[in-house]
Amino acid sequence: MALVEARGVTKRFGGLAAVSEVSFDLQDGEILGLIGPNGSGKTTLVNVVTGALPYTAGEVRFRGDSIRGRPPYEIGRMGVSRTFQIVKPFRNLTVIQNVMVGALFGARGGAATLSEARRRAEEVLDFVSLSHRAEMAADGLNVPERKRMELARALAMRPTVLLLDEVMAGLNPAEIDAAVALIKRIRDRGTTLIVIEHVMKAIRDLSDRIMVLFHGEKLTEGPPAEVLSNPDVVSAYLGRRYAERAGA
Amino acid sequence: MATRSSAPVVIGALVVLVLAVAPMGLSPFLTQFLINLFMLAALAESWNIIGGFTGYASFGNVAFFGIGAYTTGVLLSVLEWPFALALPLSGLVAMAFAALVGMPILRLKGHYFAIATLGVAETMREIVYNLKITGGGTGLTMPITKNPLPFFYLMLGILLAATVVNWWLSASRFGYGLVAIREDEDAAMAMGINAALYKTAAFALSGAFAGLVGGVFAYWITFIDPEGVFKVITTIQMIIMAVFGGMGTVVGPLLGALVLASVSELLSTHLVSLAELFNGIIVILVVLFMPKGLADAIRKREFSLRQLARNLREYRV
Amino acid sequence: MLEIEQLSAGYGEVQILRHVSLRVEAGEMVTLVGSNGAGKSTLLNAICGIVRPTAGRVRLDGTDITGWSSEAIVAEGITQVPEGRRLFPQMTVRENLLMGAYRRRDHHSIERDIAAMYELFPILKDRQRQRAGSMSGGEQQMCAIGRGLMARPRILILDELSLGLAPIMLDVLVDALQRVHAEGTTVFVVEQDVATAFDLATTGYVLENGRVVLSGPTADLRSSPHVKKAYLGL
Repeated sequence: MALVEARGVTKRFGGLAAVSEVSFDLQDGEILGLIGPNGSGKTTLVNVVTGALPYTAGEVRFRGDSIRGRPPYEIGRMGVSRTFQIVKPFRNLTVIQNVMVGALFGARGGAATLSEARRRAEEVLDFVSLSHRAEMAADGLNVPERKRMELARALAMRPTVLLLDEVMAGLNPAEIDAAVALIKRIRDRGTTLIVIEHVMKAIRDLSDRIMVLFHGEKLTEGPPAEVLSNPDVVSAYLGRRYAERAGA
Repeated sequence: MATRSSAPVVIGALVVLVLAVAPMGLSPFLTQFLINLFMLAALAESWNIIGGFTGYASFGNVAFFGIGAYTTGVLLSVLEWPFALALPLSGLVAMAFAALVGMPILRLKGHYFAIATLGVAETMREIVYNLKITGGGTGLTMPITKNPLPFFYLMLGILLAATVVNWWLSASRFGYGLVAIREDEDAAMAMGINAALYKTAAFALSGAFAGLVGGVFAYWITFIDPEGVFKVITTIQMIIMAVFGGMGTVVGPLLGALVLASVSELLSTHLVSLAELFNGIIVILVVLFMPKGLADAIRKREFSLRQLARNLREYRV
Repeated sequence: MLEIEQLSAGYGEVQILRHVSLRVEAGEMVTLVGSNGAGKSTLLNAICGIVRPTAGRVRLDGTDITGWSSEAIVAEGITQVPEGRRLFPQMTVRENLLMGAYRRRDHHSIERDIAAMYELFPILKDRQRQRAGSMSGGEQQMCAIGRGLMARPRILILDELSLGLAPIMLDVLVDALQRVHAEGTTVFVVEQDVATAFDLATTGYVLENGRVVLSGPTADLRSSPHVKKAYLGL
């Protein structure tokens, strides 16, 4: 049984289907890359899988249990965590306090005491190399640090499945390499991941498989080399400059 | 989520000071002033739970105060129950009402929530005005008690309880959840916080304390009517004191009440007609120069002119 | 057209830019690239009057605009397409475009320019009555560029246009911007995506730690070993 099973998932807003008949399996321990043009339904799909939005039709199962009708906090407690495309820091708290919220309320209810939550938070901050900023106010961080804090917060929840929504946006090549290495370490520690990205270098390095969405539908899925050279994917998403560069 | 260390110290000092002073026979005027101060501070601390910690600025908390007052009023003057039973019930009824009303109303955000809560308070006044059992427009009269001291200790007790609850919020899992909701409700939900439940609980707690205060108030003042206990200005006062002192902090509302009530009293004895004006000016100045409230400024010891100017620029005045 | 001479600037006690000099000649498309924290935003803030430089000059067509207010600078003809688009989300696409023309007095030409925007970005015409906030990132970027162009600026500055956009969307924008440039607009592209920046511009400057470390034709910069390693990940 796959960790997450999606069958014919459809999400309509009025007459418009943001996601249409999307089916996929997420296997335990894999990194699934999710790519597609803006507006293709990637974030909507994430919202559906994390319960932030109810789905109009189809079925999503986590470990065999349907998530239909469950509010986001329940799904968070079931072990599914996410980051947001536009980061949502708790601005008036310090970095470690931000991460403590994740530790306090995460999978299976989270830590029982504040001191245990603090311990977990310190550990996670160390893992993402943000310890030196622990006592800083969250809104004093720069862009890459904010993304790392957002990631740390989600990790502190001890998720089984982690959905990352464009964590690489705005990072330079060195920072991207560091982020890719970090994400791989997360997988090695036992978390399964879905990664949405526009940074092709990262998606290529990270993904075991890639799924491509286009206008809300699944265009194709498969190993990176195959998907990224698929002519339909090039014309729908990668564009000619990417193809030129890849060819050269 | 800070100042956990100073709050108990301040509370402790306050308690010791006040309890030491009271038996020495304060003037009736001072006793009255202090009871009123404890009442305002307790209301500010109660508002802080939903407004400061949870970030839902309710403009209708006087509804719970009034419900508490009328619960005591009806039980005491109409049904002739003892006060010892009436007071707890005042808190419980207000709490239940807050929970019930909270469930639908907390789905609203920001301005809509503010207006809706304001509407609730106004509606309660009208309902009470039109009911027979509450005495309608004529109001209710309680049995008279000569000694103000019990009310002194009761109000003080409620104030302490409300402050302790605030202190607990600043250092507990539940409190973290509320603050997370305030900072970003969507993120909070994604992280496993049952926002609907937490918000409603905070609202209910807030209502409970306001109701208890109302109950004591009713018996103390011996006469209540709809106009008197469902005043919009009561909510405004709670909010101003909490914001002035520092909303979301433990001692902020206390400080705010202390300073504003004292200043207000001083001004009205010396400058009767201009008291309101000066009150307003002081509040404006503090909001401009110390946007996070008095408590925050004191904690950071930020009183230099440069810091004040920086605040002005930072908050884009 | 735009001349920045030995510009230094920062926030409070923190110095970010040090002696930055660069030129954008009239009719050119020039790019400034650099990572997060290199000082690109600070430079733009200094040009557009949000931050007062501590040293150096900013000149627009010979006029010294250093330290001017943002309103005066915009009136002088500098328009910026901000990072993150910053559209008016509740307004429609058309209304956003009209807002771009806010300062203009030649009302009769405004409709013609809007039609030109629809021609440049056909999808905007389809979405003209749609609320800008409900569009996808790429569509928003087109609307933001359109809004900037509606001001008929002397120089158009693009801040991080590639952020969060799909590769194919960048292709569309690169093509559109090249058209805009070909029609005579001076463009200054401040960008982190070096590959896209060099596809667009003929002249480039590389900013690191508040200093310009490299400059020249982008064709040359592309083959610089430092640029290849640090910015193109090659």
